Amino acid sequence: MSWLLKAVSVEGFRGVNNEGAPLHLQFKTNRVNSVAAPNGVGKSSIFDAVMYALTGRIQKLEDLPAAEQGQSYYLNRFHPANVGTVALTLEPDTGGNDVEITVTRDSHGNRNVAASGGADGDAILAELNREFVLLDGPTFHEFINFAPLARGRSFAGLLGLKRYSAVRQALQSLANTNAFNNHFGIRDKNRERATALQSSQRALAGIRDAYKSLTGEDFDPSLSEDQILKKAFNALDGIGILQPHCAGKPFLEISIDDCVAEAKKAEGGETREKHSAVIKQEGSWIDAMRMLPTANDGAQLIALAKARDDALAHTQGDLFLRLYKLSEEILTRDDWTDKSVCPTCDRDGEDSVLEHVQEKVAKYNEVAEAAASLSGSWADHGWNQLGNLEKLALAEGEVALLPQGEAKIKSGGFDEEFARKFTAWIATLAERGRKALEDLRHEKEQLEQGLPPLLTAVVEKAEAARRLQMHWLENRRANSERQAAEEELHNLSRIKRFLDNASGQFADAESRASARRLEAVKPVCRQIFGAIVFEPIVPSLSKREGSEDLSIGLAQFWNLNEISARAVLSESYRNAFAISVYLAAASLYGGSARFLILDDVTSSFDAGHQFHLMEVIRKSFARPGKATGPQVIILSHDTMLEKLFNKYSRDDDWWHQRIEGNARTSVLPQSGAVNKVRDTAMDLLNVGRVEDASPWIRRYLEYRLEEVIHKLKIPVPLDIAHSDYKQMPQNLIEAIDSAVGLHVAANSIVLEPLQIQNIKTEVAAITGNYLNHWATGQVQAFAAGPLMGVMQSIDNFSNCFKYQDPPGSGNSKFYRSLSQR
Amino acid sequence: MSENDDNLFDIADDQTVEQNLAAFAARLLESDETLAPSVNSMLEQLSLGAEFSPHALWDAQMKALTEASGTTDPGEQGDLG
Repeated sequence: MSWLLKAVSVEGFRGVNNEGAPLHLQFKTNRVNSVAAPNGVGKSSIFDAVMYALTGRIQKLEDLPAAEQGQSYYLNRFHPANVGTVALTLEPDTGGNDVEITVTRDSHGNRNVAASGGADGDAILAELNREFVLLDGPTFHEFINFAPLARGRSFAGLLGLKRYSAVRQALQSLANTNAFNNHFGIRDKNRERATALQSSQRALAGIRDAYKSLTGEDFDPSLSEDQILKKAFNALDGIGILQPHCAGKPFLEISIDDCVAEAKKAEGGETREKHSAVIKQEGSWIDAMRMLPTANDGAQLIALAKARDDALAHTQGDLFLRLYKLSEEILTRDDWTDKSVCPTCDRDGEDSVLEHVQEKVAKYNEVAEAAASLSGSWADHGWNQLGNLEKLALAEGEVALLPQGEAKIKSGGFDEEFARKFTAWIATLAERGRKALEDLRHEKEQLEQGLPPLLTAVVEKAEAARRLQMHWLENRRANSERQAAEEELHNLSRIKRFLDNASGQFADAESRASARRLEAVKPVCRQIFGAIVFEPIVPSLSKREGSEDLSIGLAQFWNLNEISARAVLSESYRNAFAISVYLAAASLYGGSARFLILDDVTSSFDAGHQFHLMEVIRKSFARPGKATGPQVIILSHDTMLEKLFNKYSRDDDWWHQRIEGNARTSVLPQSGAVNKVRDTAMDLLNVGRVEDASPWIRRYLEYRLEEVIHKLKIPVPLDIAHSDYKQMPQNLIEAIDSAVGLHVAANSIVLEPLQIQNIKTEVAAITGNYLNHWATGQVQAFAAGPLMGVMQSIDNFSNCFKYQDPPGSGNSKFYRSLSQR
Repeated sequence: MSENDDNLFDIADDQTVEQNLAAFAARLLESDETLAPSVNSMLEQLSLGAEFSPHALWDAQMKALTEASGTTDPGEQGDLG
């Protein structure tokens, strides 16, 4: 459903106090609406109020430095209730009941939304939250001065692609490789898999050795598990004295301790026992020394640790990493529009802060990558499998280094210094291992010379069977772990591949839609720009394929082609460019919001270009000039533009209002409300609030003076609107006085002599008791009683220019002019 | 979703955002019905303006996938290769 804005009501919000009597602005949904107000009256507060209702925030307050506490300026500081209220009355474009949505905010920043008739207020406000609904000068200025990426993102919203853009960004977050890998610990899982593979390979090597020692045959990988275990069983079962311990048991369940004890029983004695122990120790050392990392592996470990140290030297620690990542998160948000503003210090630089923090984060990623390579090498070359060697070779009083190495690899703290220390340590242990094996073999040979050869062989076979059992079970465990890790990695890679594809496909679709809509916007934009500027200047918009960047330029600038818009266009033409883009997008991709509010968008324009823009809006953009166009509401402080509004408002397609007031007391629409202004002034005087009443007296006086000038067609100097507003009433009085004097001198005055005399009396009272002090800022000289008299003098002055028709009836009418009834 | 399926999704200008997202969701379901429901749920979250958490979605997807593929116990299957 699409909506038009029928009314806005504000109380206690921004510059609108209006305690107990909200400012209520009624708009015509079938006309162009204009609202004029002098500076500081609350015009932009209306804009802010609608912005808060639609978006839940006022960007300029959110952008203030933290020390200024922008959040505390949402509510009117003079309103006692600590609650701000904004109500929007919306009319369905296609007919049906109006919906009033009331949004409140309390002093804690809590927002509440209520809607009439059971409507979903939040959903309607979300639909209306489109980039072109609330437009002001800074919006256009930013659009032109944005970096291409920020401009492109803003433009996506204009083209109705904001939600698609949000989905794309979410999909890209999902598919972000670093975040994905970190979340699932992919590197740890890869290391687990490599470790399991290494364990399995070591176990397989042990199986081959032990199998050959037990069976006397080479290990044949083509045999099935059952066949291998059967052969191992047969080899042990074939030894007569061991048969009772093998009978009826699978190979892996045979007790080797029982077999060895049986051999000892067959020929007991200390030498046999010692021989068995030596064989067992020899087996342990052989296992511990198997597949030791080579010298090259050591050199590689040191080189990788050095690479990691080098990468680390370009970073500044975890605290800064957190700062950079948080900054990156803030800077990549769409609502952080200017990427050259630092989120930590609010300083605005020439270069992109986003690119800077991304470079910093990339340095940390390089450290992570180097640490991952180190971790991979650690597992691949079996450095983490050297626990048994260290246990066997560790001398009394020495400290094991492997647990430290494991901890450093896991934490990413494995540096070059430790790598050198560790590889040297392993080389020492390996040397000790080689020496131990040599000693054990020598001792075994000595012992065997005193033992019968058969039983020696039985014990050797039994110990080989023990090693085969052990490695078999180890291989099973390692395979199980590897398969579990691979299963999980496979699942994760499926998710990642899917997300990559989904993300890529969505981004492509969005990019195509964006390009298509951009093509549609271009001619409309050129047409609007041409109608405002009336020069041979043609704006151009371009978007690089596959990129979010939107570049602006000029296809033609007089007789030059393809040149920089930012370099050659004046500020007003840049604004015209931006306005053309926004209006073109709004006319084509408006969606649910069928209204636009423009706040002082013509500030940089001269009167001619203001007129051209208003003509474009009136005749070819807004309803009713363009039947399918949006409702346009223009807010302006410009006195020249207001004259144009006044002229337009005589026609049926325009509705103009003026507001008056201030942030401390109240803001009121002035059309048909002069009595409200008078009542407000009198109410404040009655309760002694002289300082608050004095600006209202000025408004009432100004209104009455302008009324006399307008009704009696009194000529005024051309520059009368250019004076300070405090001088304005005096200027108006002087214009009236001068005209009266002229007609008196010419003997053409229609006023009664008493009226001419009263003019002087009332002007003296107004000037002496009010204007002299007001114009010089001496409001402390005011007292309530004399100011009530001034209010009466203002009415008396106005009556000097009226006559009774018919005489004595009490029915007053303004003279037609100073010389005509 | 095979590599040949690129460009099969398009944002149609005459459709609402909801309709286009629904079409995309349907397209995802065709491509990998095991994984797509989780992404569908993400699209739903986004269209409702809900807080979007990649971590929660990743975990939900992993859980769905583990449940769909079933657990395997490779412990009894030795590999001597």
